[in-house]
Amino acid sequence: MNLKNKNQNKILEFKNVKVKYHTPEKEILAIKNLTFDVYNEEFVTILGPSGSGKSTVLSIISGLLPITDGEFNLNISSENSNQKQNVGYMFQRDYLFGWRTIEQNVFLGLEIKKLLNDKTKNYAIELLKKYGLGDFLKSYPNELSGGMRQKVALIRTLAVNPKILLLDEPFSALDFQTRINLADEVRKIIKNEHKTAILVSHDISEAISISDRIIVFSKRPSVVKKIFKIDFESKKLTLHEKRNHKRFNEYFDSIWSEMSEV
Amino acid sequence: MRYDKYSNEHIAYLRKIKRESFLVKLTQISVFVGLIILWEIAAQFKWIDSFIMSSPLRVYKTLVMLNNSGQLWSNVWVTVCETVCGFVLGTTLGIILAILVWWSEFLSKVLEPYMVVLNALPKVALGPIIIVWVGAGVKSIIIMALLVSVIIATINIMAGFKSIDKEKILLMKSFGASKIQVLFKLIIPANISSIISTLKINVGMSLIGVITGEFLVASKGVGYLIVYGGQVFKLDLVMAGIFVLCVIATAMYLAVATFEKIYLRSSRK
Repeated sequence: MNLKNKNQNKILEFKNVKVKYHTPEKEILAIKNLTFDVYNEEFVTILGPSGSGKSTVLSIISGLLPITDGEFNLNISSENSNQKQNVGYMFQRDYLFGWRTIEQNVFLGLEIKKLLNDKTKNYAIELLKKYGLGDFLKSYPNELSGGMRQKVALIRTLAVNPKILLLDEPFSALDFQTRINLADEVRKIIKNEHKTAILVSHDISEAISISDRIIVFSKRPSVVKKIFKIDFESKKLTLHEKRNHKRFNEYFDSIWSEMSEV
Repeated sequence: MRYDKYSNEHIAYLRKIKRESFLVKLTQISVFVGLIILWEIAAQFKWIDSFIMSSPLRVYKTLVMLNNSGQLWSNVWVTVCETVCGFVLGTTLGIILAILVWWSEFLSKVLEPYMVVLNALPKVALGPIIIVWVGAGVKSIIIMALLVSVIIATINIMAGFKSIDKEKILLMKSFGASKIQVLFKLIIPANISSIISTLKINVGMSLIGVITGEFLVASKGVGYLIVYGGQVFKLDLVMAGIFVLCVIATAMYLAVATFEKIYLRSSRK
């Protein structure tokens, strides 16, 4: 593979995807027609009103939900062709297990996949140390703050070395300050480790400050309304600096009006 | 004193708490001792008929007599063994059933009405059937203890299993976890404390089952002593039996509570 166009590789694509749910009362069309691509090492945010099928998209990508119609492709040219090996999930809450130490929590995925050995253990511990959690290896989750716990949850996902990270509103349960700082750190970690990330959010500011591209969903049944490319000239800006950048408001206004249209 | 590092207000606050818990203890003990003394006085002054009401002194004498003849410990031993057997079987079976029901949504739905009915049914009603099927002996008593404890254990543990956050299971599945991995890495460790609290309930349940069984069939055990005492109108023996039961129940509960403390301490640090 040519390194130059590596970043241009599609890592996943949705083509006219349709999803129906069934409840005893009725059949629900959750997703009407979705077509979009995500490229390697990109940070993409899916933005939409509640109940717009954003989390459904994550379930499809992680292989937990079959699609009703259309085409969904995951182009991962690694030794592991198994979908679940390549996709990591980060949830709204950290779901660290209280009976395990931080270190043991981070080993969870490795244990499940039966990949726990000295090499993978070291990799996981190095990640914890690299991102400022080295002092807490033997601590229990209730000794850590909310932001730190979410960071551990991210590293738990990274420990199994997935290509794609699915972030299901991972900052929404935190207070404002922690939220911005953590989002900043999560973006840095993901870029640093060369991962592709797909974030689901309904927070426009968060989406603008963290993403490379924003895909706006309509209300249910979902379609892609518009895709915004986010560019702040310099890639080195922190999320806080981005929030004060003049382009921030321009993006905010155009996304706001896009989302307000019925 | 180690109060040095606290402010005066805090010391006052601590003293208040201490005094309160001391008063509670003191009252508890006074009520018990007071009732015993009142009972003895009433018997001595013939306010009550000690033939049908017994008296603390007579209960004490009966206990000493039982102890001297060796009957006390042999009967306690029988009851304790039966209770432990019923408790271990009932709890183990309860955990296994809870796992099966958690494992299969279908089985869970099928079993639901049966569980409700069996839970509400007074298990003593099954006594005659058990006696006919397995004979009037220790086996019947243990089965009775098992029946009384197993349904409660299953229902309690199952409720704990089902209360696990769906998203935690989703997390496990996102790592590709199999059902057995979800069970052993999430469901069971997350429910250790609810399992232990079920143990506490089950000790009592099992003892209820054993005494019920002994009432029905036994020729040994504390339950037998009580029933026998009633039949031959020796109320001293009945009261002594009840007293021994109180001690057994408390001791067993404390044993499980101590186990819980040790377990919790060793699992954290």
